[in-house]
Amino acid sequence: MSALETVPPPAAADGADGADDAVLRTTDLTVEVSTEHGWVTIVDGVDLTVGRNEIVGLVGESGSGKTVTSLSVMGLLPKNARISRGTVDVMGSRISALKERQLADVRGVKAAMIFQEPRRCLNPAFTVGDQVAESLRRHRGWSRKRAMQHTVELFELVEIPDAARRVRQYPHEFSGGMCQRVMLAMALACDPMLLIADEPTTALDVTVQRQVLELIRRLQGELGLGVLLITHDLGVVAEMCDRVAVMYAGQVVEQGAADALFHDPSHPYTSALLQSMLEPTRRGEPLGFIPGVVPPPHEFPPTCRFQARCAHAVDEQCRRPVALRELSAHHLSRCERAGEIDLPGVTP
Amino acid sequence: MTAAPVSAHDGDPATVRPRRWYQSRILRRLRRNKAAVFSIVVLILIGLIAVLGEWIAPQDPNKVELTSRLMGPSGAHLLGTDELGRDVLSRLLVATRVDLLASAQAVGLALLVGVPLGIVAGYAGGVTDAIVSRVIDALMTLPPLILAVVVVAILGPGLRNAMLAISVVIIPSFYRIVRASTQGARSELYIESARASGCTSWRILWRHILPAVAPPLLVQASFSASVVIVAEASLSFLGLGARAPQATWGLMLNDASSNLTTASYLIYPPTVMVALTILGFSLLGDGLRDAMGRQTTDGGR
Amino acid sequence: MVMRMISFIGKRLLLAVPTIVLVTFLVFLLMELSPTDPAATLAGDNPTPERLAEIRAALGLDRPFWERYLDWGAAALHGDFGVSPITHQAVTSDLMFRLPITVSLVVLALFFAVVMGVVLGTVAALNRGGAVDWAMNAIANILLAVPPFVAAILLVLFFAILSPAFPATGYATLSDGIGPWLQFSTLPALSLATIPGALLARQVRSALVDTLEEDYIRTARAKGLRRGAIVAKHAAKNAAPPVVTVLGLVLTSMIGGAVVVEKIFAIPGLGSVSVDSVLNGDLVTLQGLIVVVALVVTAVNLAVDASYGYFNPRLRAR
Repeated sequence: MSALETVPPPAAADGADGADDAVLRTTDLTVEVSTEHGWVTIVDGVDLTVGRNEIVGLVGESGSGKTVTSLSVMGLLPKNARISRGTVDVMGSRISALKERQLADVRGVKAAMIFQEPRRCLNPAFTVGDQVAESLRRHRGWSRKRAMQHTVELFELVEIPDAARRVRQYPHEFSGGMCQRVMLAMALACDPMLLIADEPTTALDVTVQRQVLELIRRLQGELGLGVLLITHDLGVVAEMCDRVAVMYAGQVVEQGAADALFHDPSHPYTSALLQSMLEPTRRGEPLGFIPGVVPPPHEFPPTCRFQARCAHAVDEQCRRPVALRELSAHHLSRCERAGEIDLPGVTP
Repeated sequence: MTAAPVSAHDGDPATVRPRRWYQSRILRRLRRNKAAVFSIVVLILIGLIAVLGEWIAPQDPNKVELTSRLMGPSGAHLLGTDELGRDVLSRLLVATRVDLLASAQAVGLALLVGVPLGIVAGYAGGVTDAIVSRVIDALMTLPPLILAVVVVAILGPGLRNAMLAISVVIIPSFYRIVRASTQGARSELYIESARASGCTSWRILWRHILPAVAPPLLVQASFSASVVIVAEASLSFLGLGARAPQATWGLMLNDASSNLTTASYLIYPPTVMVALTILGFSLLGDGLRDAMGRQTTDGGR
Repeated sequence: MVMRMISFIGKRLLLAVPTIVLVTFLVFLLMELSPTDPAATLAGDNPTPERLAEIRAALGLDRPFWERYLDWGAAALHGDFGVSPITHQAVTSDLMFRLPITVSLVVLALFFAVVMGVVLGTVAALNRGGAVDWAMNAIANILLAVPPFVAAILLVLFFAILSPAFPATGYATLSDGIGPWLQFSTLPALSLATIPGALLARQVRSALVDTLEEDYIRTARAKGLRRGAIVAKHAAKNAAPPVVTVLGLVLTSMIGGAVVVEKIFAIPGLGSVSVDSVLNGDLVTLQGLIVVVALVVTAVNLAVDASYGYFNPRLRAR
């Protein structure tokens, strides 16, 4: 692991160059988790930027560290995890340096988050309206009545029909898709500029998935939000995202504009993901195309981390840590052999 | 860690020895639970006192010595003497047997009544179940100690009747567990197939239902033992259980409470014994429940 | 909503009636079979057969069992539990005098138990796995091992004899004022509260630990609520039902515990009367007491069941 720390951080090169324009910027973000093997690094040196008015996709298999990355952006890491290196800045606030109390003032105001399985994310014991209004009362000090009135407007914004009546209902009276709309209304209540969506449609029916995605897209455009969309579904990325970062085993392995990355992937892992997307029989099982699994964090190798599963691995070159390097403007790859091997992409 | 020797015997089933009871998963888990090990050690010690109490008692527990009444702990009387000059330590040791034996009787009797009732109700279902369950519900509308007092009122005071009363109090908990487990076991497929293959009802009972019922029952029995200790002490304390000059923890507590201002040292020995015994049984119950895992709590509901 | 609630309570009350009738019948039957003869108890030592027969006739014991039970039941329906052959008092008015005494004692004990349980349980849950959690568990286990009457004796020793902060025995009703009532009720209520407090603490801890793992707690954090608000609002309401279940159980057992504790503190409540009537062979009073206690227990169970709908909106639809 220590060998990796000597790798120089890659030059900041992505779509949102101007620092003023970034709603989210992580620099060398490294997260450790306490396990029976001691403190183990599960997210390693992630540099990520989300600008105003853009959707950035964060893609990878389960175990790649994408959810942990998103939780650390919100300061929501579980007790047994910590940011051990690097920084997270959201709208000028250094999240990674804030105490829990200060974090609570930022959450929901500067950055908000929606999750997988929206029904489980709403408290069954309170009305949905109460749960949305709660955010307004907490951050803006509004009265119950005023917060409720605005909640009705928020419900209309997220296209929940019959909003005035629905705010008084409980989560169990809502479908999964409707619950995700409630979550969106809650997230957007205090006008944050950054929305983190962690697998927002994975648990939903296919038709509902599309509606929710379209809603996110529309709101993002109207409100000029920066959205970090975490997903394992490259189809969703293709439809939604301006830029993409692909994660594998705690590292970003490829990053760039969505079109370029789909067209001309420069990391074997990205390419394999794209191929698995094309394989219609395999669409059900996420990324089943690539043999093997992501190694557990305490077994991340000190070499190229994908090498064991890579069809293009060559002994000498791939047996050492690989840095993320810029191939062309705004296109980064963590493959030693990028450029020398020809990787198939897809045509959107 | 046993993977290698087991696989070595794979081809020859005759040499694979069955696991002994003390190698079982439940016991292994129990041994890892510090609180459970502590409780077992405490209970074994208390059990030893109960068995040996009469012989290791330094003096005759009932020997009245009016010249040495209410004397604090000293070399001659390690825990002092009570208001009749009897040696507290000797009484405490002898009382241990009386209390444990009485508790064992109460739990045993409750098992003897509750288990068959539960099996019959759970296995037969229908009207039988409805009637028995109704009666048990009726018993449970009264708080445990009130129920015990009522039964004592009917039977008359005395240690034996107090024990009967207490067993009536704890019958419902056994009944409910056994009934639920029997219903569960009955509906499971293996019973159906056992019946189809011509097993007699008794055989089904013995081979299939009792093993399913035993673990949650064991847990409940442990918890009930601590309930019984409390109830027995309470009834004796009230004068509804054991009568003087018999030595029991409840009576010793009663003696102590009437001499509280002058001889407060009397209160501690029986308190410690009662508390340790209850603690032992409830920790053992917790440990057993945890060691047996989820199925126990399901059956208990 | 209100209508549904009323019909729910009505249905439950109707269900409770046969159980209570069955209780009284069982007790009546058992008393009939009982080897203790109330007439013999009343007649004192060495009564003449004539004297015994006289007392039997006076108690109505010469009439058939069924007739006596039905008479008693008909009177009980009108709230008349008869006259005690020992004290010659009307049982109903005696019990109605004692009921508020026991209820106020048990309510105070419940208050202590809830405070103890919620504080210990919440602190333990928020420090799960740590030293504080371990210490809370140890305290709960020790409290569980002290029966109420032993707790009562120890409390009297420490807080009435060694440091006389409270009176050792006696009673003041609420109508004597809150101050005197608290003076006399604190120690008995505390001795009733130890085991329930420990049981509640365990239940609060485990329910909170489970609830705090839920996804909606993460949502509450994500919208910037403070930890106190999350625990007090979002976790508490979802963790409440199992705790309320235990609350109902401990409330019932407290009424039983009052039997001994009232005796120790010389409080003239239902507990005292139950012991006295057993010792005096006063089965008429005991019979009335059983009905009153069964009614109280039924009411508690009903309240517990009714509360589930408040805590869990999903149940209201059913």
